[in-house]
Amino acid sequence: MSILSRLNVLPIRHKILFSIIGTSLIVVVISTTVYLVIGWVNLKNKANSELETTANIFAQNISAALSFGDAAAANELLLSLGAMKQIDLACVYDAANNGALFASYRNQSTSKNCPANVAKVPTEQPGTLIYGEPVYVVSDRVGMVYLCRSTADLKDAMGLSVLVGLGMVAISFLIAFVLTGFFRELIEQPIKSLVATTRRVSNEGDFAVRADKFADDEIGTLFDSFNSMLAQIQMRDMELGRAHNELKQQVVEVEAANDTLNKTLIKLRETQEQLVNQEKMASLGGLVAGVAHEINTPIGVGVTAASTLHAATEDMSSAYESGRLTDTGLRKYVQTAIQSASILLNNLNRAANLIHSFKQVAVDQTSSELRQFDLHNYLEEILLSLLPKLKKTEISVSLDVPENLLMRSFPGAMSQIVTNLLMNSLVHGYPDAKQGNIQIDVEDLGEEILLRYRDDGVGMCKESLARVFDPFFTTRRGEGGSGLGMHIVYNLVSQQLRGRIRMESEPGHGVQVLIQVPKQVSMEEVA
Amino acid sequence: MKYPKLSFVSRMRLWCCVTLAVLSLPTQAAAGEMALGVKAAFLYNFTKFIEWPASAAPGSGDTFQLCVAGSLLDTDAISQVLEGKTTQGKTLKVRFVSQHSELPGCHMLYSTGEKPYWSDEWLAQSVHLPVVTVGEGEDFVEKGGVIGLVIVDGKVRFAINEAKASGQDIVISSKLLSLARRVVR
Repeated sequence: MSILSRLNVLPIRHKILFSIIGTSLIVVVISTTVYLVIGWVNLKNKANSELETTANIFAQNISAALSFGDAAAANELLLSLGAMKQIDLACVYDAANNGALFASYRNQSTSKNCPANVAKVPTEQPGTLIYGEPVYVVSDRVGMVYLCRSTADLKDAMGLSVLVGLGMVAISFLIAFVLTGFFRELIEQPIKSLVATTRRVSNEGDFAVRADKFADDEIGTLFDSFNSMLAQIQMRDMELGRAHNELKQQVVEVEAANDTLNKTLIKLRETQEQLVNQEKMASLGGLVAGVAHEINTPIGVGVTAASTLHAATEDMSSAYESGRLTDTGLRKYVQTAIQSASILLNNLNRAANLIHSFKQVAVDQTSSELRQFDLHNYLEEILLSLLPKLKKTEISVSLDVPENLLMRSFPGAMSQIVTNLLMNSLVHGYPDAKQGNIQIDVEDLGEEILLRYRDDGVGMCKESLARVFDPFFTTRRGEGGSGLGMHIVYNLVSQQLRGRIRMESEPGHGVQVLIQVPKQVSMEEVA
Repeated sequence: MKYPKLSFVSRMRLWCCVTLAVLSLPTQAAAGEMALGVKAAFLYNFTKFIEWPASAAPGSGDTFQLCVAGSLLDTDAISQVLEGKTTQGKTLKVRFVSQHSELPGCHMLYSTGEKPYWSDEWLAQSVHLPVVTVGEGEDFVEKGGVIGLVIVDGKVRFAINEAKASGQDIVISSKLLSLARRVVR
């Protein structure tokens, strides 16, 4: 493990060097060792068989000498072994003489001697090959021949082989070293260049750089993959940049649009305010028209009564001047005068009353004065001012308000609210001007009042109900609807009267508006 | 066993020998006996290195006929050493011979050369027979014997007349020839 980890730290060229040289060295050393071992075994076997053959020949040749006890002849025979320099010792033992040494041969170069008895012959001796061959005459065993051979010459021969083997190891090491240099270039060069390219890319962030491919092997594939990765990153970068620029452009455009929108909104608000004011003035105009119409009747009646009185007085005056004034005539005149004066008084009173209430309502509608008022009387006055509009229809309005319900609030806002609700009912709730009932109930809740406004008109659909308080929402655009009526109502309730408004309706079931406002509104709150 | 009748001279000589043997140093007597024993062993060894034709010693069956043309004493001495041994797959039989007509029944004929048991007539008779004649002295082979025993430095050696042997249809192993002091070819 430690060796592996130590190897991992090495640069690739050293790894290649070690792997190639290590592998070739191991292979060469193993094969050389095997070759040497086989050579040694072969050499030894050859020497053994040579020794065996020689012993065999000598055993045959020496049999006669042994059987005749002719040691001299045997010794002479053994002398011929001098031709075989590698044989150190030859010993012949006589079986008839209890295995005593019979004849021997000794190479001059050796210091060994034949043991005196066959029993003392060692079976093995280091550095020596020993072979014993029995000597037979026909089938009688007459003795033994032992040949001793030194392995020194074999070792010398092996020494040469070992030298050759070492030379092979050295040569293969050199070849491996040279080849490694070549292969190292082949493998290391592309990797180095790839490393340099990756450094450049990571340091400079330049994804336009491409690695130069060297070959079509796995490293070549690595290069291709790396290059295609770079290309993808570059493309993505470009796309990102483009998207970024587009986004910037869009932000600028959005900001411009926002600016325009803000300006438009400010303009719109100004326009809305203007329109609200215009609407107020318009309703005031309606009021004035109503007032004029309403006063017209008592004034007309008054004029008729006054002209009748005037004519009767002139008739009576001329009759008196001419002396044809009769008692009956006087009485008739007085009666006419009284009646006329009464009519005149009544109608003038009525006109005065009307003007007074109209004046109050008009003043309230145009000014936002905070004052105390009796809701019951005030609502009746409002209805009175709207009577001219209602008279043209068959719609009855009934009021159910507790008497002496005093409020300190903005009556103008209240009158505007009721006026707008009623006008909406007349215009939208009863499009065919059929007959209907509008009910206005007020409930005293202590601190607050609950005003419940109901009509039994055509009602509203869900969509319209959801947008009913939106400014400029109208189903009658182009027919005089400004779409601001209910928006003004909502603003007046929630802002000026500090209350809440809720509207319920279903198509065909009329509408119900619930308004909950405090009885007392302090000036500070409004401000 | 029927012994041949010995002449007076022979008997006297025998006695002399016995007396001499008794009187002389025991070592000498032992040496003489040992020499005969050694020679007997040589005779036995020779049989191992020699090939006889199938026609040799007809009627001998599975016996190897070693004939001794010498004194009964010598024959007995040799017989004591070799009787009952086997060679060439046959049982060795030591036989005393005195008549030349007995020669064809022999594989090997040995003689110490002592008269009257031995005469050169034996050699003349053996010329055309496959009988290996073994005698004493190197001149034995000159006279027509096959093997002549010689004492050299107190050791028994031999000479071989190979020409005579091959004339008698007898094959002598080269190993034996290599040990001979002299080979007549």
